[in-house]
Amino acid sequence: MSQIEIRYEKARLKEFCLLEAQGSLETDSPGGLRGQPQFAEIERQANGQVMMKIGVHRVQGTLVKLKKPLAVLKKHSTEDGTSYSIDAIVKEKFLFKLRPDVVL
Amino acid sequence: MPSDETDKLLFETLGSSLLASTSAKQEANTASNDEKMDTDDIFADEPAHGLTLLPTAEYSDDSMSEDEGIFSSLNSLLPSTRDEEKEQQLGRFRDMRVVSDVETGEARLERSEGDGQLSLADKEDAVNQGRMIANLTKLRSIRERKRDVNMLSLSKIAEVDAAERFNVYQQAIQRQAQLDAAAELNKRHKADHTPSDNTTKDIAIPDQTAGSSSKAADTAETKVMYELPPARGEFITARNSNGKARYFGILNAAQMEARMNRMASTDGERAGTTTINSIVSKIESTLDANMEVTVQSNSSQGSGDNELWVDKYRARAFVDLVSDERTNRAVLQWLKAWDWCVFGRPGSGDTRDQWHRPQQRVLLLSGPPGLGKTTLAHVAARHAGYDVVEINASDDRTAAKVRERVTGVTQAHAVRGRPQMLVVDEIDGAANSDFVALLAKGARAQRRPIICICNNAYAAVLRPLRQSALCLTVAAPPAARLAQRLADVCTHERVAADQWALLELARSSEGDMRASLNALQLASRRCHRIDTDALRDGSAKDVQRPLFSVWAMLFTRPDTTSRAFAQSALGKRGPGAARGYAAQLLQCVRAAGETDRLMQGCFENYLRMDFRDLTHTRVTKLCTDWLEFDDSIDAACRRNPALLDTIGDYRHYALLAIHRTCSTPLGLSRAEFAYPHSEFDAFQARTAAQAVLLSLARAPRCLRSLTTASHVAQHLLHPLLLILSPQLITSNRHLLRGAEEDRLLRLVHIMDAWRLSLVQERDMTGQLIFRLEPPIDRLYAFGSRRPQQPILPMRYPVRQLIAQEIEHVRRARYAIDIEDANSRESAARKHIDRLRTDQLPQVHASASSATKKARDFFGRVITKPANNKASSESENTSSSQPANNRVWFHFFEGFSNAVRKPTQMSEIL
Repeated sequence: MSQIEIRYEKARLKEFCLLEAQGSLETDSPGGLRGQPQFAEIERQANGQVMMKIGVHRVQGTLVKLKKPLAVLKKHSTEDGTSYSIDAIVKEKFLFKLRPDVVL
Repeated sequence: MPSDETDKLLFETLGSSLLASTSAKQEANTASNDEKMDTDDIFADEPAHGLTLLPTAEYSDDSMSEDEGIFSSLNSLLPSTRDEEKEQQLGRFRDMRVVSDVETGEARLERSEGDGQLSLADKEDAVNQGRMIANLTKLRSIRERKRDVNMLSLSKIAEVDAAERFNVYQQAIQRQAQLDAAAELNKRHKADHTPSDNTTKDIAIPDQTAGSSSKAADTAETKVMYELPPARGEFITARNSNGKARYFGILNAAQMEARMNRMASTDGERAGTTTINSIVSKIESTLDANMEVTVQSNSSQGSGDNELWVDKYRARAFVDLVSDERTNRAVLQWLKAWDWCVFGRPGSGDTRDQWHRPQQRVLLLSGPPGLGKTTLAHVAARHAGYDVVEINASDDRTAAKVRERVTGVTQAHAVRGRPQMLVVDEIDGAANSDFVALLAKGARAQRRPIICICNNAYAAVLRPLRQSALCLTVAAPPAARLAQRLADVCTHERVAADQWALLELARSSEGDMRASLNALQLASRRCHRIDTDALRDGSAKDVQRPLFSVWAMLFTRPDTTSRAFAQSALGKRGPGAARGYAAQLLQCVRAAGETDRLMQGCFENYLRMDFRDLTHTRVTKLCTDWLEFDDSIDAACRRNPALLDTIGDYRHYALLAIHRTCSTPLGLSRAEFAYPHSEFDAFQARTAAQAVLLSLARAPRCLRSLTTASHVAQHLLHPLLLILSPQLITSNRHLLRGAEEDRLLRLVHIMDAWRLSLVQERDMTGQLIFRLEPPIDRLYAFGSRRPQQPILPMRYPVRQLIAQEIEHVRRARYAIDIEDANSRESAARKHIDRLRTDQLPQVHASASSATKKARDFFGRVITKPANNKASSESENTSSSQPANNRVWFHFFEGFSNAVRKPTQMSEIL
């Protein structure tokens, strides 16, 4: 029976937000998406919906609360054994499942 | 009407359980009084009550013959008389007519014109014999009445206030009963006593005026039913016109018969004529001799009679099975093949198998309902020495539960007792095919036979099972065999039954043992002798016929006058028959279910049929009235499916209208009926056209997200086709000059942009042609005809030229694309290489992770996120090539290619 030690400090806990889309984000920049400092804008709208603007596209979406929150773990391997620390938790996600409009 | 019919009638009435007792009747109210009353009524002439009308329409056409039947039966029964005497008596009877009254159910004799010449003695004789006849007729009317009471409207009888009156006649039959009842009732209802005031009246002579005799009849009316619920025995409640409750007592069979006997003897003595007495005794002896009858009444039912005959006479032994012998044996043979595996006896199983099981380890029995499939399975199982465990439609059928049971039964060895086997009933009702797949597949460890039973072996859920199981179809047993079994049941139940009727029942139920037994039991409750009449209602089976047979029924008109039809439809000949057929047809159409398909078939075929309509007026009328009606209903139902329940049924009548107009007499039609396929054709054409439109809509990149198939069809197709048809005459590229060359180039570019091409093909005559691909010119044509104006220049050389030009353009663009892609790819590769060589070692400086690179799910090397320095560098590089620095969103339409993979803790640790 192996025990997993999970540590966390409440003060340092960050909150992430998942991005779920019906589709994929593509780029032709050589560094991939990581090379992009900023590639999209997400803005909340008055009706509770969310709008993501990517290039010439505009996608409507919603902010959904996750049924089970997720934790982002970081693995620490030492001689004593393996331990994890919680880096951040994810409670919500942006859900974009509609066909994008073209911004002309 | 044959005499035995009358006998039956009489007997049924005698046996009928509805008897009434009077509350007001005193013991003094004796036979003479009744006699007077009877004769009064027999000869009463009451025009107000609508004489000579019989209660239901079904008797109206043969009432005369029925009367004659009564005469003839009496004639045959008259005892110890010489032929002349017989003649004489018959002659007397012929002078009278038996008349029954609709309203009251009364029956009486009416004298015909010649009665004045009869002597007084004759009259007296006539009175006696007439009373006998009247009794007979009465009995029938009582029977009618009883059916009313039992079946339909208790209140209706009382409404006409005639129930009281017909009970007056019953007194004649049940004098003794009344004496008993009255004595008892006198004590309880003294207030109700009505002294009968007509005890001193003389015998009314038929020559008397109608008025006085009817008055006598009215005064003779006495209350003959209970006014309070009787303390003893069962009763039926009714209300008369004043809203007062009346109670009719029910007597059981034994009491009835005893009373009948007593009544008959006393009646005979009192009448003083040997004739009546002997007639009665003769009738009784005839009945006793000819019929073995058990009269069943509601109160005398034993507990055993409450059992359904279907259960009571279910086959218990293998030899009792009525179903097809060959199937029975096949089932048993298959079960016996398990012997080696189950019992350790040498069996006929597959010797290659470790356990010598038969090759197919599941038996699938299929066949229409009621043929005894379940019974066969159970009986055969017991015969082969198994205990049956049944999984039924009502049981839990989730895969897990079923697996539990199946493994429990088929893999476990019984500790004691007989080994078990599994019978899965109504397996085609299984909603999930998991269960079926389990049965089909999980047979490896199976050590016990499994029998599955279904109605339709070709149901979609059964497909996996059908491949691996031994499929047997249970056929309907021959009607004669079924009828024999029914006759046995009747004998055992002591119910008199007509062989012919049983055969008819067996035939009409189409071998359905269960349905015919149920119909038989129902009929035996209702009447006491089973004949075609008794089985008429409720025995017709609600069978789903194949569509073609329904169409055949719709387009043929049976010969309604033939005897065969009368028997087959269990209907009547004559004018009512056509209506009967229509009703049958309506039922068929309803049962068939697929009204849409039926209507479609009729619509596509009705004009091809050989019906006679020279002026076409009837067909026109059919179209304008009924087909339009049907169309509008169909349209309404499609718009709002909720309407289907309410008005959807009216579509059946449109089908009947087609039958009325377009049917031909049986055997005269030579037209072939074709299965309706136009709807399917249209659907296919539509799908093809839609695909073409969609491919066109997708073609140009710029329009991809903006156009739909309907846009293309409505706005784009026509102008595009016009644009695609410029005037080109020269077919040699080198000779093209000026405007014509411009037109060609323009055409080629447009076709390229829309992804249109010309494909070389051979047509049906073997000639080479260039076909437009996708074939948008077909969309422009109607049906198989060519488009009205040619799309693209039609000549072969010109098309060849266009095709070549398009090819040139495409190749050129393809080359550019590849070059582009190559340069882009090389740039990307260079960048990644640089990242790997420079930054990654710096990031993972530690020795442990330097040698082992992180890999993702697909085994590719994950490029770790560069640290700040690296990213700033990459930012620099990316900013140095701004043209390539684009991000876009690629939308996946209609599917997700996400991969979900279970991960174990050991992978993480």
